[in-house]
Amino acid sequence: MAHPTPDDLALAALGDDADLEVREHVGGCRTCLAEVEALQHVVAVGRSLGPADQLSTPNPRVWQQIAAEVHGQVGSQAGSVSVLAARRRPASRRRWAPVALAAAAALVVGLGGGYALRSATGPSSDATSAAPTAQLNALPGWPGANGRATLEEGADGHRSLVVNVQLSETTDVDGTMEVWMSDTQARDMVPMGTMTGDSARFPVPASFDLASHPVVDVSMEPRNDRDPHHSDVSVVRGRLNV
Amino acid sequence: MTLAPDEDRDALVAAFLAGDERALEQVYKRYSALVYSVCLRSLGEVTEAEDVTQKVFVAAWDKRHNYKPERASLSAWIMGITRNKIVDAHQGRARQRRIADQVASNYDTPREPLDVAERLIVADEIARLDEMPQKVLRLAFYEDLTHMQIAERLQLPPGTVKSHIRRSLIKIRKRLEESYDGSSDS
Repeated sequence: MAHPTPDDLALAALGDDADLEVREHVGGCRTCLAEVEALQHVVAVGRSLGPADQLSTPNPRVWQQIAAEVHGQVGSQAGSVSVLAARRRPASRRRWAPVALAAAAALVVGLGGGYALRSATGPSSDATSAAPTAQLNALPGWPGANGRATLEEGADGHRSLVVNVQLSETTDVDGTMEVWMSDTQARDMVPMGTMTGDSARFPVPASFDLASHPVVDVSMEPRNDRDPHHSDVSVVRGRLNV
Repeated sequence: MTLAPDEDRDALVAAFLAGDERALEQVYKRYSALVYSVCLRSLGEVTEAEDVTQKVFVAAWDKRHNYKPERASLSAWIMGITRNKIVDAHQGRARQRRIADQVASNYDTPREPLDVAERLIVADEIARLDEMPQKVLRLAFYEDLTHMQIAERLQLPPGTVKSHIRRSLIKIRKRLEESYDGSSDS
């Protein structure tokens, strides 16, 4: 007979081989026998599975630790800059333009805040301790939200952006907050990473030009949002005094 | 998460190799349950399984430049790292055991990671099948029904049942093959 159909070979692997002709053919055909034997292995493993053979999901802290361990390295990896560049997106089509005005207002406050902080450190502090900083102010729709962004430079010269965000206790959060850096026109937005708690640290590649992208924006990205673009929903925003 | 189509997987691999941290997160989402479950079964202890799982993904990230997509599937590569890290953990235990001068019988005989991995991969693949193919395969596997009996039970044409069975078995076999081919390269 001609080779049995793949369906019949699968049934033969299960032992569901009512068809004598199929059985006889497989017994004498090396190709079909090999196929059946390979599938029989799957069947044998599958049938032997017990309650213990269930996948368990690791505790979320495992990922948090991996992310923390891996995070510090990213800024220094060759290639990460181009990845950032590839993922940057033109700013939003909808809500960003009107909100840019609010951003402008926030910038003034941000600059003021930065200045106040520097003044407070007093004249004795040396120049390097005056890390660029920004007060992050709530956008309309997020009353009570606020935050702070600071650009820190490590002893090894690597820069990182430390962002702190607090939401008002009555805010219902359904999604994750993502941090972006953008130009003052909000035309080019570079994703820095996702907030994993109230506070998070993001590596800033050496070649990243802060002077052209001084605005720190924290967006709310809806749960299950698969679109890598900015969601158009900004929570807080401010400008680094660079 | 459903199984990514091939081009999605290629894009994920490309982003992973390029150093995109989000790709690492996706890779973790896809494989962490399998890696962790293999560790847990093989090491028998949550804390150590978590620790080894962490090491596997950090190593995968650090050594991503060693990964050659044309030589092995990502899952095979990650399972290869998992196996190595489990062996390391067992060796670490043996050292500790010597130091503490404890008798070997205090410890479970290590389970062969590959054997455990194979069983868990099959369990994982079955769980990932769509609802109807999964129902069909479970009836064939665990209730030992013939395809005709399954067709009757589920009110499906026998041809559909046969086709579900074939597709599911081949899918699982492919995943098993992917997970072992080239896994020694890692």
